[in-house]
Amino acid sequence: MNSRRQFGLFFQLAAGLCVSALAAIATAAPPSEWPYTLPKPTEPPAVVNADWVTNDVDRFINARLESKGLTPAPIADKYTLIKRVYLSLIGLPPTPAEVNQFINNDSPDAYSDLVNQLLDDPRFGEHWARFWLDLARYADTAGYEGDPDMPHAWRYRDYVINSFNRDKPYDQFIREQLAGDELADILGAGELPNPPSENLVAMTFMRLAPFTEPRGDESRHEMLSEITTTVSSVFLGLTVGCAKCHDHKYDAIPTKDFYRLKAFFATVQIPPPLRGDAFQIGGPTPAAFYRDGEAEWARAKEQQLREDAAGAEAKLSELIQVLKDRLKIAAGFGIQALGGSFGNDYFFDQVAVNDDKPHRTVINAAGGRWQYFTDGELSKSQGSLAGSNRGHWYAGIKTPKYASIGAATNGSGKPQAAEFNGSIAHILVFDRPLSADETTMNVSDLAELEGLQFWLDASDVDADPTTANPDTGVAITSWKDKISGTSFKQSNSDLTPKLGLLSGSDTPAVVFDNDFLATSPELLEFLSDSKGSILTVFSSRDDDESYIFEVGGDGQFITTFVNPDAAGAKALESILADRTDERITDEERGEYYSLTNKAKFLPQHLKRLQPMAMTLRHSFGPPYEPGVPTSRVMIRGEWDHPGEVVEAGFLSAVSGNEQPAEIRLDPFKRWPTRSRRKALADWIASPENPLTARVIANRLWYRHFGRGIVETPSDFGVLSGGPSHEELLDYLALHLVENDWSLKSLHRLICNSSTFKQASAIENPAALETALGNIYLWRYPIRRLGAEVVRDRILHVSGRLNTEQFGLPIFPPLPNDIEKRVKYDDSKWATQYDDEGRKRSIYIYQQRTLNMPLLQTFDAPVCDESRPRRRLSTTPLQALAMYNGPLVTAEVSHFANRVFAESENSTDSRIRHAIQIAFCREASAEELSQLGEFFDSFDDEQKAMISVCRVLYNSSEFLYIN
Amino acid sequence: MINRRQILKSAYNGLGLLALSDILQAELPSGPYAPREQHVDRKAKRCIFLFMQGGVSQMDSFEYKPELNKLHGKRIPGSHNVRGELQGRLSHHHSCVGSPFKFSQHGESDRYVSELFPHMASQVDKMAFIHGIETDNPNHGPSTLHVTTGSQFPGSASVGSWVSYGLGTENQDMPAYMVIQDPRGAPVNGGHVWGNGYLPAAYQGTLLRNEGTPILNLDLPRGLSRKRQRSELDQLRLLNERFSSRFPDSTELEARIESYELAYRMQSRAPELVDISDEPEHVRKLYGLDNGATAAFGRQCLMARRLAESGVRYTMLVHGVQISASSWDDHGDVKGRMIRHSKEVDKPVAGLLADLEQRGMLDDTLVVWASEMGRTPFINGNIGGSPGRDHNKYALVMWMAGGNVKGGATIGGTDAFSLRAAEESVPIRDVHATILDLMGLDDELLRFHHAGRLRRLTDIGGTVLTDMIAG
Repeated sequence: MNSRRQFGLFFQLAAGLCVSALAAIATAAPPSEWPYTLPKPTEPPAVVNADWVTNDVDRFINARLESKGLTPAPIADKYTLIKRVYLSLIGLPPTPAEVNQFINNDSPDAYSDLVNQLLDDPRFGEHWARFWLDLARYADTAGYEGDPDMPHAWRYRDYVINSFNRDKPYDQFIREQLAGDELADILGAGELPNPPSENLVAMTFMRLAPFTEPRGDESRHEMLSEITTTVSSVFLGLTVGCAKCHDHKYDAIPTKDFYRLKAFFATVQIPPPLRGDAFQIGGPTPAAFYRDGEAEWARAKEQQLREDAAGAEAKLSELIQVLKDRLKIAAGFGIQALGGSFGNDYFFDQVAVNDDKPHRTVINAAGGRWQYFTDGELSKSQGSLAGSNRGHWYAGIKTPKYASIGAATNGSGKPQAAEFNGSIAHILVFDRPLSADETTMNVSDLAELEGLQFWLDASDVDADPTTANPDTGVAITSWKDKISGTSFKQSNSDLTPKLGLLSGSDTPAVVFDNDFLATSPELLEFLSDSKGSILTVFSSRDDDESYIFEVGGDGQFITTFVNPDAAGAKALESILADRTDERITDEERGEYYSLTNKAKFLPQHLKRLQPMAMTLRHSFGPPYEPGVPTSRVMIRGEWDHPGEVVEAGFLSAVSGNEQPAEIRLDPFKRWPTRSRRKALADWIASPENPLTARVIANRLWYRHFGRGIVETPSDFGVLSGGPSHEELLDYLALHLVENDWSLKSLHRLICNSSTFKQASAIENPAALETALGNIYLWRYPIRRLGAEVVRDRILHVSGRLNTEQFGLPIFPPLPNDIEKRVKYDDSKWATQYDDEGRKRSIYIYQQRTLNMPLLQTFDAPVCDESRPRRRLSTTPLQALAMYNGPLVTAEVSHFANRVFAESENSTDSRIRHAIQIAFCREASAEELSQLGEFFDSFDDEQKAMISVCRVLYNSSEFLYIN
Repeated sequence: MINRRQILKSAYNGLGLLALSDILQAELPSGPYAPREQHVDRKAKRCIFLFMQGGVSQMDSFEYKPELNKLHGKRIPGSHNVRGELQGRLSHHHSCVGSPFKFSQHGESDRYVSELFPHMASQVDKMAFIHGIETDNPNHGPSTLHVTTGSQFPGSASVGSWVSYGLGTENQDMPAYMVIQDPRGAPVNGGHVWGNGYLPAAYQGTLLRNEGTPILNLDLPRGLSRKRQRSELDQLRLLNERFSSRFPDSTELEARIESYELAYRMQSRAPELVDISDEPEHVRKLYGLDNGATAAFGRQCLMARRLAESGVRYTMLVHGVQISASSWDDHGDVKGRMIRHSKEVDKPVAGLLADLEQRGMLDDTLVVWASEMGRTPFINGNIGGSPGRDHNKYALVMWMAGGNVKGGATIGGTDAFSLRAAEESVPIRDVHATILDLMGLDDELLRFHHAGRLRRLTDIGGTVLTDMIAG
């Protein structure tokens, strides 16, 4: 079909629908049509193929197949079954031991026992929470400009996992999220009842939409409209949001109903922003930790985070030393301008000069640019620790008060820190930058050059060529500049340097060992120059920062220094950042960043650990806060075009009328703003609501089969195409209600059905034709796994999945450090290279502007709006992510090691075990010979196993559920 | 007329609704990357979308407003049909800021262009301008989304995603939709700007990286040779073929096998594409690669041409970084900062147009210049030493060139102060409908069923600006 015809077809059909839908609205009367009428109990039909039937679900499915002249597939083999039910219920595959146990269990109840066991498995909630978080448009940040953090959103994620694991009745689950603060009855005239903190956390649901710089009424209108839209699509499966601007084009939802529904939220109050909340996303509310052991966990976690951060410092300096020794990173030589108008400019060459050998360094300053020569070589790698390189030279000191040698004085002229330990033979200053050739000239020839302004010469310490130098070892109380005659002096004998030789040479030098000389600078003419060059001949044995020559006053100064730490750290950082540099292993890189991040992100983690929730409340009402505002239709959905007044009321398509809802205010009439959301929640979470149970039953069905009975799980309207099995859906809905809204009872029913258990690898061209694909489920539908299951399975197979449940968001490593290249994100993504970063995917920090690439490429959405289903695409970027990406690359060697450790020393045994781990079944003879031959073609077993494991990770069978 | 009940009844008994919902939701039958026919015959096969983050000042670039200069330091006279924030600002003390830049007329179209854009001015006859474009929100986040995705709220599909969804891919060795962001950082909203929203992930923009490998995960893991990779892929193919033979009617499993071959080809193709060492000196100069100010965006533009040449359907270039001095968000010192921004892009963009033309590619390449908003002709308070300009959602200027664009055409126009459209505003959806049309796509037909509606780029539908389309 060509695209034009195809798109044309959409349009014609859509136009036809439009007309019919309008007709439907015009005749809106007591509801008489699906889905607005209550689910009807239907006797499960009798079927011919009764042997195939396990439970009533199968009767409905089979009856439909039979009516089409089709038969269902036979029950799948046990290997397929155990893998399927594991992936479907807990989102992880079984281990080889678990597979064996099931295969060898001949009990007729083996399978149904397994279903029960998996429903009780705490990993169940971790897997099933994902579909709910998609619906709830869950994220840990608010999106838009700056993408600010929502520090306590994660508690909602844990609420969902915990609720699913405890099989919280679905009606209660609804009430808690919509009106958790209004559930307690008011029985006396005292305080407003204090809602349980679990309910406060539950109501985070309403605050999870993206949020940006508020603009008064407009923002409130959009916020409440979004809540209305999301609540009705998530719980009612209706696209009520389409009626915000005009009557629904297809369904019987007039605009007025949108605003009647929105009016239930009219008294919603969001805590105002905290001080320091630059993006004004609003504040949190105290909500104690409530799960068993959660408060203890939080305390222990806080202590652990603090200890880790403290311990990280020591470990980090150890690691840095190891790496520096290996990389031979040592000192740098440079210049710093600090204080007053300078700010902090701090630049250096990264060539080592603290090896106690003679060095000649030149710093040129011209036109705001620095140039360094060390031993005649122009610097290739310059570093900076601060500043913007404005090229401050000595003229930057407006009124110099002192010049000094041998220590940092920080602008005071008195030695304070960073003493120099080494010897200085010459310091020469020129009023112009030296050329490259000039930097290597003999000192005596240098002295002949134009522009020499200053020359301290240790071979002639009194600057008088006619007098001999004192002997080596004699204290130097005065060292005279040969140009101006200015003397650098010291009267304190404890701080006096001595005359000696430059290390490893016979050149005279002044030897400093925490010594100090200073002068007042009246005669130093070079201090008026705005560009120039300083040349120093010295040796240094400092392994700490040490200052050589400083000029300053009034708290500002310019100084030259030797700085092994700064230069070393900087050089190390750039080698670390270059992941192709093989002098550092990936493990060491991980360790380095991990330790760095522990301290850097400590405040962020601690903030999240506060017992708070990003929740909301109802306003207190008069006399404290405004009462219930008048609700109106907003014409064309525009915030400033009010139309007719409306009262809070339920959807007319369901109730058959437009009566205001009955809102039960407290009998003491003290809180008139309360109970509005409760009225709505009660209406939704009721067996009398025709949609609620159907919608959730269909959602579970959708996730088990990859398609719904209604194909659009959040849209039961006309465009859904209606249910493929209307009676079955009603049966499931009624089953749910009859079982006290237990979602696990529905899972149990579905997973035990033959429909779920039937084989997928069945060919039936006739069925394909008749059944428009597989909508009648004549076989189990094979399909790709979701993004999170893919990642979790990779880690599970390598044996490195961290199974710790609940807790703070995790930050797995991202490829190529992309978090550092997205502005704002460097401050949020606290990359964890250790075990913490290998928890299940449900715990990954959901940053709206930075979707984790591996998950994104496998169709994990940024949940900006409610996402009822995932697309399952197939793209070459997935192939790249699986084949070359950092996760598989890291895990494949662990997978290989696991195979080595768990299998016998033969090719056959290894291939067999690798396939058991990866595919949860026995290897075929073909596979054993194919992969065995491949394995044996390598000289190196380790490499061979890694290659086999990478192939298995990348195979379709690994990525699909069938 | 059929009623709803009949529709529902018929849904599973014939083609009826089922077919509709299936066609609407399924990925297209020939796979997401297959090339697809245009709805209407247009020359453009590909699009290069230049996005200037921050809000380009229209009265310092492409709108000549001598009246405004006369009012420098004074209030704007009269009352104006603006709402929201702008209305509030106008009602407070404010001072007009005349443009500090000289304007002169260029080309056969005699169009006024500011002295900041001498190179683009030399290409002005290729361009059709749209003035007084209005978006829904004056903040950077929402307005950037509105211009790039058709909705101010996150979650919608970007223009490039719609185009790739509609037309598929020409070059099977590269993704259909590539993005090159400013090397200094990301735009506001990050990846949402090229997100696929509710469309399948196959249609999301792929970021071409400035450093390291051009596409994420393109490099083989350390220590793995191309030869060993090939041997692994051969093993993989055997396993995958055996697996898919059990599901002979699954086109998806076939596509997965093919995806590994595509990826393998991409590994050699993509680095070739970004390796500009084969570009001759005169071409590098044309894009300003020889100058520190223009080299960065010049490289982005040159890369865009190379991608277009190789058949990439849609390339988005972003200039500017959110909330920083590197964006066009010139609240202060609009004079000093406009000199810098314009210098960075003027020569590269003009070079791109000239280069496309000399290669005969301008005919089938649509080039779009956009920003997220215009700026105000005034500042609040007194004029001060180096005044800036604030946000103006009523006065975005865009231009297009190439394909069926009628060079020299002008759509809309703003009042004497560049405050808003002199007559009717041009809603951004009309611009989107026009981009689709110029790519041969019909906004009415290009739909995707999501959340109860047949979604489209223009939301409620846009009107094609036919005056800027030739033949």
